Amino acid sequence: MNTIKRLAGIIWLAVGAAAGYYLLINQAIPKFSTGKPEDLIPAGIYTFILCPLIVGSLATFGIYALKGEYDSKS
Amino acid sequence: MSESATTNSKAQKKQSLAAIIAASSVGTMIEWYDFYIFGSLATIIATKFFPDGNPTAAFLSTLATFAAGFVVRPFGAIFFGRLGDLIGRKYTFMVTLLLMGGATFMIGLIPSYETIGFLAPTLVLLLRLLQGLALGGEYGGAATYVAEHSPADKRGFWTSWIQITATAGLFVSLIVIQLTQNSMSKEAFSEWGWRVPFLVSIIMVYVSVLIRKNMHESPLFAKAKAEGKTSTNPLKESFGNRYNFKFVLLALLGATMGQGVVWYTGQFYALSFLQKVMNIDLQQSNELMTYALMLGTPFFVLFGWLSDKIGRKGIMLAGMLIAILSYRPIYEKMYQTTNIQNKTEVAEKTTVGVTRTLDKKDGVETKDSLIVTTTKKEYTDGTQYEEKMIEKILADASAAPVKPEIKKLVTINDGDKWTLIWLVFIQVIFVTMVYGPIAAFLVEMFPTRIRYTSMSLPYHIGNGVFGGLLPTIATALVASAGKANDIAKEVGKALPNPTPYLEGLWYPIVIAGICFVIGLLYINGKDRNVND
Repeated sequence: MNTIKRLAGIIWLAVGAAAGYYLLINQAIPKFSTGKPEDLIPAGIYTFILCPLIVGSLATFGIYALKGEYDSKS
Repeated sequence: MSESATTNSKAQKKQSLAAIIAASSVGTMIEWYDFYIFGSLATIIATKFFPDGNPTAAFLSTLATFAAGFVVRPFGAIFFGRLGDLIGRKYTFMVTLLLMGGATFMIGLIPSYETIGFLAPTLVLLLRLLQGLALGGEYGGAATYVAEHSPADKRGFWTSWIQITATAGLFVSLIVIQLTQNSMSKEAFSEWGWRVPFLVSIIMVYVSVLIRKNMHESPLFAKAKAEGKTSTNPLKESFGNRYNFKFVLLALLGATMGQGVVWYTGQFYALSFLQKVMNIDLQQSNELMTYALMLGTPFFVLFGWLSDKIGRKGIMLAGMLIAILSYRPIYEKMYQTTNIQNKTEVAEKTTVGVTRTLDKKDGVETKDSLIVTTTKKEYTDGTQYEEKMIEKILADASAAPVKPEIKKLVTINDGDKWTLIWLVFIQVIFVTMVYGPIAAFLVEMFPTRIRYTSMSLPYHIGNGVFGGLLPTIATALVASAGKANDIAKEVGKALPNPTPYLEGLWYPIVIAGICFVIGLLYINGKDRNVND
């Protein structure tokens, strides 16, 4: 079980990267490019709050998992 | 144990646990009430403070929507969480109550945009931010306070009463608005009556403060304080200490993130889907939502109680899994229930009316014309359908033509109403499964010295950020699926999204899916101690 937990760490790192790509490329950049004020705020929130939050938390979680921080004590 | 702790302990015994829960829950419910009336009255607030067509007002309005829900709530969690771990739960969640009540009351007093210009939306924005800040601090305090009073084997049951408060707050806000509307004319409500639900808040907060004032500090915190075991820097200990921080991450990614999207889907996206996608009459959709919530609410307590018997993890993850698997069939059934393509029209009852008026801008007639074509249809099962096509004919013939606006309205029959109540009720059950046990679950994850700080942040990121984003992302997904279909139609290709109205569900499905796997793999469901 601990091996699965550790290996799954790679998945969480990949999911973090995919989420970052989706938020920046599919959501934030198209909204920034419209230049409308009502689009700029969501774009800013995606870029400066959500993206660091989601990518950061999943990446840190992935690294912790890979290092065995969440291993069960036998 | 010191003298003060002993005295405190004796005094606490005099208070029944039920009274403690009631006092905490009422205050938390009032905070939710305060937070929700802004949303429930959003349309009227927009007309008073954020006038249409004004870019600065639109900017402030968007900021009020996003900032209060996403950005400020987690900051409130950190700020008040730290305070609660330093000086105590009781005083901190008293402050959040006063802050929320004061901000809500002040919103009711702000003169409109017409009277004081941009100062009005700016003040609304500032007060809305204070509301978000207060909400961020309240929940963790109330949940921690109740959990620290509860016996270990009944922690899920007692904290589930705090879990009910969010739904109860929504109910009370709808009831107060309804009562105010019923007590005056539409014009009076629009003119000044909408302020009443905001102003009433101060009375509720006053009563709640009176009740909470006589409550004692949580016994676990009082004991920790008496023994000198409270944290001197809860933020550093919660997020700077690797051992604690990994649990904060696990609470977020393995529990609150999925719980947040399931909650928002069942309570908010369902309503938005009924109104915006299925075009159901506003009053009817609110009514059936109320029935579904009313029927579902007792299940918060049921699942909280059950989590004491069979464990929290299993119930929460089961709720997430069933939600993931059943969202698309449920929403497809909802959509098809009122889809007029499936119904038989009573042709002789169809009416078409056309009106032509001059368009108005800022209350002044222009040279442009508005042609409104209203088509009314009835179906054999009693369903009524109304479609308004609004065409704008520009006086300047050389200008590019404006795309006609189409408004649809479906009035459903009794049979369909109960089918939809049932389908929303099922979603509310998922909400109660994931949300009922979560307070006890979070409390048990962290030690007393940093509990308020550590549990508040994942809760408010999971609910405020992941849940709060649901309407925006789901709507964007539906719109982009519709756009892709339009493009395919234009070039004569097969539609890439045969059910574009279901595409918004991918957001809760994916987020809850990731959360389910993380929760299943990494959460230790057997640990029911408070981890001190």
